Amino acid sequence: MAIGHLQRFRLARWVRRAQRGDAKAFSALFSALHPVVYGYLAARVRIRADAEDLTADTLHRFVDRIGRYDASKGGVRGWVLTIARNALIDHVRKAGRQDIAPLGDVEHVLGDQRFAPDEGDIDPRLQQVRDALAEHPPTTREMFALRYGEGLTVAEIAAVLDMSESAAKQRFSRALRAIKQRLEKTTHEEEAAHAHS
Amino acid sequence: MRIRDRLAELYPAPPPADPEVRDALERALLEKLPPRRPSAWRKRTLIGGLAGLAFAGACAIPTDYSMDFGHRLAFSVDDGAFDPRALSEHIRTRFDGLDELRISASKSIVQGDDGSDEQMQFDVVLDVVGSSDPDAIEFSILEHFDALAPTDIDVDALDETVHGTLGGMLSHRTLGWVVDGDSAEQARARILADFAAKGLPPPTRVEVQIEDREGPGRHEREIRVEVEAGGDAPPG
Repeated sequence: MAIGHLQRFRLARWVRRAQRGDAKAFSALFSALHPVVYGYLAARVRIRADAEDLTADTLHRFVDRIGRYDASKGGVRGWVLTIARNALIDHVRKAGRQDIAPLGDVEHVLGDQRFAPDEGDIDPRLQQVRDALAEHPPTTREMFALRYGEGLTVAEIAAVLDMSESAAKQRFSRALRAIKQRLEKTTHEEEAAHAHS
Repeated sequence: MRIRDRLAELYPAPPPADPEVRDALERALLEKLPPRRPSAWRKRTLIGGLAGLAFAGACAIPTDYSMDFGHRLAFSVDDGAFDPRALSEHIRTRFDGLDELRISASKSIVQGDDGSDEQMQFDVVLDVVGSSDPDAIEFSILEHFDALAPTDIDVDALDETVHGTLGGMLSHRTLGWVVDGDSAEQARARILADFAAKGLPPPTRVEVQIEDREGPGRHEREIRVEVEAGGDAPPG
């Protein structure tokens, strides 16, 4: 029995108990979900107070809807991060100083601010990975941020991005293969250049 | 370095949340929870499940207290070949440290949703007394029954409010502490702390004795607690 599986199962049980007003179960649920939600948002907004406000907004919405949670339709983490993602999109659009910010701005934030290409000095090896990832569409970059930043499973990522699990798997493995090939090619080119010089 | 490790390095964890802000949010959310309602399965108390405790000389101050015994798991299965003994064996072989495992199953004939097919249904109630991880036991039940989904199993703590005396409360609590690994001295210190927390004068005498007896194929533990209330508290 994988720990991850048991943990997902445990979250669903805490939700069921919280639906019946069990404060102890809710506290356990809160302890498990708060770091996930806050971590997701703090990685994507630069101001800490904004991350805190968005976390509060997300978890209030979560509690307001807790009676509607249906475990057969997906896991709790995927569900709460879907709410967090919607809250973040609202926030970015409102902060755009126009009625609606351009979609590209939203996609950039969803793909993770930590992945911003204009950041300062960076390890060249990591820069290569960034460059390889930057060649992929925003949804793929967001998938990678959710997988490697938040540690979500592919099934959870599919739920957050509202796509089928098989489509997410296919897209993910194809992108991973392409990034790997791109990095291998870069390495070969560097080695060849080094040999000539 | 593997590609996955390099990708993970791209996404460093942000600094943790401010604990004060986090705690304030938790308090606000707790206030929004729906009012507590008991599970449909919680119908009877299990006060009679305690054994091996002797208690004497405690004060008789009327006290209501909550007791945790373990967990109750309840579910229904429509498997006509359901065997409660097989389920019991399945759980016992996977979990050490269960003080008691009780299964009760009632059988009934139910009609299918379309009103045509009749099928056997078992309503199963599993009481697990002692320190156990209810999630792991629930998971184990799901392993045993392929057809069950997590939403089909109802899990509740076996805790009940006891309308008793301070002496009764201390005896039950002491049992729980010792079962959880407290030594006699640690249990004694907790009793003194309990008196202080209730604003009572310290008892003039507190003795906790734990005696283990080994027999053929069994292990018995007797816990004896004696408390003499001090000050103006009514004598036990």
